[in-house]
Amino acid sequence: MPAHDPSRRAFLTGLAAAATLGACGDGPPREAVAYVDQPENVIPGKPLFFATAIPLQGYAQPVLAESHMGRPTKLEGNPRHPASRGATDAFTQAAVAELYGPDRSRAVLAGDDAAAWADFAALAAAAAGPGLRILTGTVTSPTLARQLGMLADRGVRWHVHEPIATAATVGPGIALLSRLDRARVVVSVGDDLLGPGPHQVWNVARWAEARRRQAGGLLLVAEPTPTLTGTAAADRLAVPPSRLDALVRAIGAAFGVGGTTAPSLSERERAWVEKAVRRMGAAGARALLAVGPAAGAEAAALALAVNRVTGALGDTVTMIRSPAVTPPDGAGSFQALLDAMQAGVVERLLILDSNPAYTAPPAFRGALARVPMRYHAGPYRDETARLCHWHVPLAHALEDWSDARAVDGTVTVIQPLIRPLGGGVSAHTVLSAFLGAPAAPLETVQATWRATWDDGFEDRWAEALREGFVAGTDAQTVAEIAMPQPRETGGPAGEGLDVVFLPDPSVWDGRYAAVPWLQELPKPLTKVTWDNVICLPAAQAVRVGAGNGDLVEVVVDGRSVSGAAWIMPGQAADTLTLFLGYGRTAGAGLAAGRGYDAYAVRPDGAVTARGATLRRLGGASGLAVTQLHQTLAGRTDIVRTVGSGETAATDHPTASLHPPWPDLRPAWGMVIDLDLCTGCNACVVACQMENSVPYVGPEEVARGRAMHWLRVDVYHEADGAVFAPVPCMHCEQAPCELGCPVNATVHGPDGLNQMVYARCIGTRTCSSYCPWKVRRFNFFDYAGALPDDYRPQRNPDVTVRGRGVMEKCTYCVQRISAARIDARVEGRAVAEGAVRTACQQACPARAIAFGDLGNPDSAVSRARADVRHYAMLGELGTRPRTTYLARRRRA
Amino acid sequence: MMDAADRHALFEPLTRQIAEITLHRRIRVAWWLALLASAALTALFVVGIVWLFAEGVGIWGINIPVTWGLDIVNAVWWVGIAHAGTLISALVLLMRQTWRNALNRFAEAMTLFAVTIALIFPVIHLGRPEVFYWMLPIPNAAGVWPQFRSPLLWDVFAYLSYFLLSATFWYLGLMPDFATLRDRARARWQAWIYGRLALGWRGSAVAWARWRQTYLAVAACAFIVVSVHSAVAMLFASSLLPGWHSTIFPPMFVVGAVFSGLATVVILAAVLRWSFCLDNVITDEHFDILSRLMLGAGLFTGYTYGLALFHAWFGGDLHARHTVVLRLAGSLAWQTWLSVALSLGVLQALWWARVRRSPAGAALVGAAVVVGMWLERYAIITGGLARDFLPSAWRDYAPTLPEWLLQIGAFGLFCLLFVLFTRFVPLISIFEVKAEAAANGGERHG
Amino acid sequence: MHPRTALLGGLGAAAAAGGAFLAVAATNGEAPQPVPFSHAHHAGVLGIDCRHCHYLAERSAWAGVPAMETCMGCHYPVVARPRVEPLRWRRTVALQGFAYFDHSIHLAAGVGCSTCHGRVDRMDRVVSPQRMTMRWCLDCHRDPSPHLRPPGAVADMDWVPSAEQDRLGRQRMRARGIDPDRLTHCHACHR
Repeated sequence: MPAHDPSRRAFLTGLAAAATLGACGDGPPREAVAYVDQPENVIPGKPLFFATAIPLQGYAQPVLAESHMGRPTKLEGNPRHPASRGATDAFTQAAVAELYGPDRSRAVLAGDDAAAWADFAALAAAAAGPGLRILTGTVTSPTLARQLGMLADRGVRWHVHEPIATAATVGPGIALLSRLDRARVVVSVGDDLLGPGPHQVWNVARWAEARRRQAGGLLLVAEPTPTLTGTAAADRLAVPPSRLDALVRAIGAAFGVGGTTAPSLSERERAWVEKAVRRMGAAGARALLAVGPAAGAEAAALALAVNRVTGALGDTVTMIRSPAVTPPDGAGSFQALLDAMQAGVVERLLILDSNPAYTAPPAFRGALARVPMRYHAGPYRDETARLCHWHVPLAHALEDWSDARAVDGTVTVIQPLIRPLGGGVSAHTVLSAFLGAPAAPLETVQATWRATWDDGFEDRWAEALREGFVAGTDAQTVAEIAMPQPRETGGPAGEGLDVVFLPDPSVWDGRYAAVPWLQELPKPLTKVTWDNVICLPAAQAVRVGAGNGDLVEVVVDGRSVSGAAWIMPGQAADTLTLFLGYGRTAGAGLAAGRGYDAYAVRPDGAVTARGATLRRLGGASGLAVTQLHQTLAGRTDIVRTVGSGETAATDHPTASLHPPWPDLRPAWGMVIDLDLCTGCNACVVACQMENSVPYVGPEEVARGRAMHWLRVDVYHEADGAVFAPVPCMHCEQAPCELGCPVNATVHGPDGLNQMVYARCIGTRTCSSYCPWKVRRFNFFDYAGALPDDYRPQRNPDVTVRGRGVMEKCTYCVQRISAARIDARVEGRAVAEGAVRTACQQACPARAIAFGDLGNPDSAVSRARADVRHYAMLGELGTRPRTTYLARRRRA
Repeated sequence: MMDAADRHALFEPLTRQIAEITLHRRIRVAWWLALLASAALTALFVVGIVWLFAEGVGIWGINIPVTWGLDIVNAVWWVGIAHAGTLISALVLLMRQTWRNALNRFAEAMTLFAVTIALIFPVIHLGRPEVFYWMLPIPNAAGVWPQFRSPLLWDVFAYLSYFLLSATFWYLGLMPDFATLRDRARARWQAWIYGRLALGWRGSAVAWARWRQTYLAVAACAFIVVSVHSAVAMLFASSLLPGWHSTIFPPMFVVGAVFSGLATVVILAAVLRWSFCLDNVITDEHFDILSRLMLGAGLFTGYTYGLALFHAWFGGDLHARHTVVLRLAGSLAWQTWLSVALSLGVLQALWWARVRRSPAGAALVGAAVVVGMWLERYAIITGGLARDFLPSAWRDYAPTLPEWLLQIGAFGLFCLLFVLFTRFVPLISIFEVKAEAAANGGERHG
Repeated sequence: MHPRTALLGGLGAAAAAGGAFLAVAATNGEAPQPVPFSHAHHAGVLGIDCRHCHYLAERSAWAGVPAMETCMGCHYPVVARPRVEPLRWRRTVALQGFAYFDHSIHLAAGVGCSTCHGRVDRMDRVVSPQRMTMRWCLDCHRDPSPHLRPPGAVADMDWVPSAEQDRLGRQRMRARGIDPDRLTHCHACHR
């Protein structure tokens, strides 16, 4: 190797190095630290994967956690898990960022002062008895249930508070589980099956499978406010929540179920009901009538009866032993606690991983003051913690030994990836403190399973950790229960507006408020970030004279709340939607004070309310919206919908002055099936976590500088909304490559449009030239501005971008490189399916196909051969490698 | 033919009139005030740049999709203004029109200063301005060259070569005048400086002959005036964006550049004539000619606008047609109509000879044109980015205070350079004006 | 001041500044190590293969530094081992964060240790024989054939290309599927 003359080169390279150093942060680490005791299986530079689960409202979301040198950096779905089949949702993807959050509580507190765990444990040991009550959220953990049972033996009563009802219950300990892959027709009356929540991955995966096989997935939806389920519907009826019950009764009447008086329906409602009944009749047992909480308990009972009549019960929907453990007072558990607290019976209260001071009706705060001793164990020092005498920081799921059940009942043993970063304590440790028998959480969890498994514990334990679930623990079907009798109901039509209370698609019930990536995640149908809005129908907006962002006030039952208005296309007449999860005052990190608190006006955990009033206030709330224009403006070729058998591509291949790229393999390409995309945003968060994409904050989002490499566009058209995920198109004849003056974006032999951050000087020509505007620019040093706490989450295989450089989707080139290197070292070719982009991997609907276009049998090649295949803006002739399958017209 | 005495009688007053502006010992208060004012505005420029380098490009109003704002508008507008100077001093020279002799010095100075400012904006607008030199083909340790197919890189070469050419040409034309000043200087230091700058000019016949050859040869290179702004236009036209992707852009930009540059020359001519009492040198005829040129360039520019809109409509492409509608009747239509009103509407006053021949009238029209052309660049650049193919990417742009600081400051820098120019350099080409006067047989032009 | 004085003075000042810079730059990454480990002794005299200590070179991007137990294996083979603190080595080669170098694929391709790192077996203190600039890497990436070794010769410190290297190198490139077109695009090393 020729040695270079150091003097002149050194000077110039020193200059260049100094310049690039200045741009790209701290530079490489100067030290290499040797292991003292080398851990087995760790190859520095290669990640390890551990199977575990992230509880979402108590239900396990199975994941494979990727760990680099002992730091969890990314969560992927567990492909072997029967419930999720390898997919994850947005909340689960963000859990790895939640782990490192600087706002997590890090100290045991007695009042406002730091205290020692030992002191709390001593207090707890003496506290168990009939005067102690425990309040938790949904519990599916067999170990936690066991501990609660042991405490119950000592007279400790356990209650459950969950602000969002997700699992339809038909009786104590019985839940309904939909099997959408078996359903040809799904009629949903206010049930957001595909929407966010613990069931999203389960439902979307199965619905998409039916749709992919063209064997089902037909949705008929009646709902008061647009949801992801309604967006995917073939026929969507927008009705106020007060009408949902009537619709169910009308359907019931058609099947001979329920009362004899048919409810009176409007023309449109009758047409919808007739269509639904017709389709259900034709599908027989392969139809499903799903009813959401907004319709009321009577409607749910009626639907169950209809499903029984059609034969769907046991086929497309089954009754299972609820994965969630039923508290002693059943559905009235929280009310029972409230009554006891108000009666002064409760001497000590432990609130475990729940925030009722924020999410429960306001009466709770008053009742809480009547409890002489209050303990709180939670991840944040939130609204409830501030009202308690003791606060214990809880460990994150990635730091904890535990177990949990998925929505189908399958148990996953939760194993930690890392020691608690900030002194977090396991919930099991807290309860064993109260049991007076302190034990490490691992012992506690193992004790549960030693008792459950008669023999072969070591092998079965190892298998559970390796596979990520315990085989055979899925919930048993319940065949026959006493059917609740639907009663005649007939509410008088009230005055005023109907209100629907929905969990927020980005922060759920508010528990994710302190995760900035979720705050910045645009809500699917509004693309609002860092805020919640009050959805109005257009007529109401006109009446009060409000436009998007204007402040309006809603009064429900004498309580009022004011927030930003949003005119929601497809909102039912005279219906408002209030989103829960904002207006937090503590433990919410950067989101404190943002948005309005819908819990303040929510009547006692209800999903709906009636008799609300709306008026405009002066002023506007500056909303940070990532997509300002949400109609196609006549450009219907961008997001195409085709009828059965119709060809989507209308463009002819364009000639080009440039020579075509050589036919090399692998030729990476991606096809996104718009028919399957539900707009859930799992892909967006997955991409951010994989590629260390920073959040920029609401002010920058409002200025149009959000950094999402992959965005999901929404277009509200006359016949409904459509979603279109837009990553980099990786054009073969890329306009951006033409524009860059310094070769910072060039074309690779594998078809990738490459972005070389080190070379980028920031002229932004590439972004100006991009027809899809997929490129994101670091207007400030966004990555550097993030708290240092998030640095361990960064993917070491991805460069951190500094100020002034452009970045964009890279088809997860780090994954491609890793696969290429592994294949080369092992002397083989890269296998089909070996490289999965983060977005592809996360998608519950498997809407994204990615692979080698040079392989005619690859999934992506077959997708390209589909008649529905087209390129977005293909007529420009840039020959994008990212293409689409058009939406099928939903008949 | 005039004899030596007549020539002296003709030349001496002219020489003294112009040379004294530079050599006079006492500097007028008005000049000091102008210097202070422009220096103050230039300070704003410096503040804007320091602020920018400290915080980053995020302090501007740019966003995704409008990644280019006032920074590129100014980069284009300033270099556009420069074109008229080259037109007058070089191209008109080649056409052997002697009326340019009274104008070419300060017109070429305008070019040089405008290009200087135009060079600043592409450097400071970078996300990483500290490595701007990576755009230059310098061998480096990474072994990477710039990307030569990029119109932005063509602009780099275009601006740099334009700067070098203008500087060379201007300097060539200055040499004899520096010699004049050297010979007439009163203070020794003045004589020394002008002597160095004159590079030993003695005015021999051989020197003049060689000088003329060189001058004409360099002037011939001034067809760069077409390539520079065509390269700038290609920066936009090479993209696929509906408002930009049009072959009319290069001619439209070049003509528009000459148009806006002529307007600036008119303004400068009026200001200089008034400030330094140069009525006999910069005559009403000059304004007449400049106004006619401005009118012609303006009408041609208007024609290219119409063509651009017609092409977009006639092609039938959905996106292009939407852009046309947007420009004429949509949310961005105010930009179109205001710039047309200012640059083309007010221009029509020049059909009247009284307006053409009056320095104030022509200068007012010129001012409207300059602002109108700035607005037109603004409309094309930011409007083209704000509304392109995907409605989901549509977003508007509004400049922020730091950008206005740079906008005003650049103007201040231009004025500062010009104010210094009038003090230290003969602002009219003495020898060329004398040559013109001699050619007219002793009659003053006009 | 005479112009010549000014000129010389200015040059002198620049030279002084440049010299100071070079004095730092010419250290070429040298930095004091925690212990005076000698590669000349271990790799040269004792003949220990590179991969005995840099055990990750064939499996990972980073070649690795030996765990303390590797050192103990020779230095305290039987006698009770003391509890030690981990050694914090100073890296002599540390590429910028945006350059991703992978050892395993280079070794698999047949590029030897001494090709890039020089005769480490003769170095008491490791000094990189050249600055690892991008251009230096590209020199090989544009035509690797002069540097590809037969299988198994990767860790030979004294391997030199034979007269046949032209032919052999090209043969090895074909056999191992090494294509310069796939080595000279940016993502080969930068992500």
